Amino acid sequence: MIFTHLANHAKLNFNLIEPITPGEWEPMHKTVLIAEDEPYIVQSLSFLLEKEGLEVDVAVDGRQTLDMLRKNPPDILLLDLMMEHLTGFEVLKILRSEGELKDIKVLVLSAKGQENDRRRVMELGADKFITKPYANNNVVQSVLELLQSIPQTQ
Amino acid sequence: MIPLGPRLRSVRKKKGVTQSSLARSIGISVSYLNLIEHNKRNIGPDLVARLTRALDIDPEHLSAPQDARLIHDLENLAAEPLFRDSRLEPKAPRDIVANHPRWAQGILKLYRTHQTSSEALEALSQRLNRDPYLVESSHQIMNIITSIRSFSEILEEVPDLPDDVRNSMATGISAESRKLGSTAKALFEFINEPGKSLRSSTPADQVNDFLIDRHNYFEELEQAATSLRARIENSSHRLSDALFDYLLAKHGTQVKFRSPQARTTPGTAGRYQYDKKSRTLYLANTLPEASARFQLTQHLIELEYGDILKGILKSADLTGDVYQGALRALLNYAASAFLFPYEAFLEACEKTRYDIQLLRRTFGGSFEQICHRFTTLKRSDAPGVPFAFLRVDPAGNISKRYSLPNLPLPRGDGACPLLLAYRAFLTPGQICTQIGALPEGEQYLYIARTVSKHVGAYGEPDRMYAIMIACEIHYIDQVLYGDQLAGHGDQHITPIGIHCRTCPRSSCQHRAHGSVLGTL
Repeated sequence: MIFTHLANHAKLNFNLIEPITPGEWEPMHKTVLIAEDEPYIVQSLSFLLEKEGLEVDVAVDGRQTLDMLRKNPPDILLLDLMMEHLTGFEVLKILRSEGELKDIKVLVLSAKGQENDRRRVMELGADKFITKPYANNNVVQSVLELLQSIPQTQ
Repeated sequence: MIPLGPRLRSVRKKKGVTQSSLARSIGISVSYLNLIEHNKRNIGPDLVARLTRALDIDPEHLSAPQDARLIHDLENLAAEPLFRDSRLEPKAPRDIVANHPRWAQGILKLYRTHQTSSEALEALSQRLNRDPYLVESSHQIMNIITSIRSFSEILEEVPDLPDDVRNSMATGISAESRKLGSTAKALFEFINEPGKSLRSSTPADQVNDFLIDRHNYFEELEQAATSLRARIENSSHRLSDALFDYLLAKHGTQVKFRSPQARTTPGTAGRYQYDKKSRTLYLANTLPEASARFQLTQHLIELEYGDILKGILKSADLTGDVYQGALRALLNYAASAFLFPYEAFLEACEKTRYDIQLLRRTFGGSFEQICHRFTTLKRSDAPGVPFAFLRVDPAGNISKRYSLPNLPLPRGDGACPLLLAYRAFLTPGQICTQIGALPEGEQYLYIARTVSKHVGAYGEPDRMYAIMIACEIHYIDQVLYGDQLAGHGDQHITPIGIHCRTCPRSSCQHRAHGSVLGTL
């Protein structure tokens, strides 16, 4: 399902980018790590992203997020800002300073929607910032767009 | 005498006059002029006049009146608490002003800016005290809405959902909706009852919070006071005499009266002191009867019911200054419960409609003691009118404060000058009344008068306080003091605030500070 979705998506919104043919994606299994402490939000996000064919992992606090990032780096991280042990800001800062992790795509999902939070997150190197509550579609589209922007390595 | 050397030197140089020619023209030696210019010699008005004439300048050029003011302001600044540990040399302002007047102005400007900022900060922090909870709850609410919205969209938009997924999401929505309800309710209560959740910073505020948390009612102390009174009261003796006898017979405590000048314990102002070794309680011989009884009772309660007091404090988990403050508050409470027994006092209050003068005649007791007892009539099955209480001195220092969750009182500096507690100083000894309306519209009945405590001989100033009590406006019919105010429409209602800086009444004629609300 992910192939057609990405292909359609590319056609609709990324006319300048060559549409991706399914074959090119097949060997790559895209993984996402959801860093979020609210179980119901985790449940709905997992459902939505697995529906798009992604492999989903979950971390429930900042420290666990870092452990999992280091052990098994995903293609994209969905990051909540208000977490225990380490906040999303701190995770982001550490992540962007570590060689092997610094290219991971980061989508921040936060109820802290003030302009200075958004600015700070983007300065720290997030790829996109979405405020809660969000429309599912907005999150799914953004994840797929970010995955598509990852340079293909042979 | 303000040293004018450096000023003289700079004027002389500006005019292109040499030291020797100036010295010669006024008939002094060059070395003497040099000493003057370096502030090594003070000079009298005669020589100042000769100097200014020779330089053809206005005498004020050398020692401007604003210098004296600058010096005075700098000297005052050294007394500020901020510089308590800095040991600023008291003589230095003269030299600073003489040598570097602009620096002196700069220091003052900096200090005034600091002062204004501190006041604004204090006002803001009072508001922001509540913020961590607000941030936390609103964040939680956003998260709940996020999951509800997300689940709902999935249920609505994904047609072929397996039953177990559908059910699980429906359960999620229902659980989150319930959580949303309770979170929003708690938030609503928090906003409407700030007194409950607001944690304060100063020890005095924390003591106040402790009393508010316990609704300023302590059943165990009421019972202790009742049983103590039953043991002591003796129909053939005055209560004070019965107290003397009991203290001596039961505890071997002698009570002696002596001159208040003989005090040694700071803070007690010589009114009472207990010498453990000789088991002697010294009371000032100037102490009024009501105060002496109060001290005796407090002392006795500490001896007999110390464990109960400590038990209450322990359960409240208090330490340090807050512990000491709360202990004093409980001692006051218990003495008050002893002297004004709950049932009899409440009955008399209702019968006289809280007529303080009549109650004083019936129970003995000072104006302050009676007002304080009003605030503790909180037995759940027989409550009195809920009153707040404030004691301030003429400089605005607050020494006792008991607010209610719905009845705020000022915490410190910068209070509203229209509050009755401050107006009461205009008519010493008279009971004054006021219906005050806060900016948000709530109205309260305020009752206040000043009381004096004689602490010295004739000619020495008395200690003076204003005692103010207040209740919500809907109790006005139960309180005698509301009679002349009620039913006159708006003309008897005074628009007041709590703190000037947090009051939004921008056109108020009594403003002492600008409002910080406009800049929020």
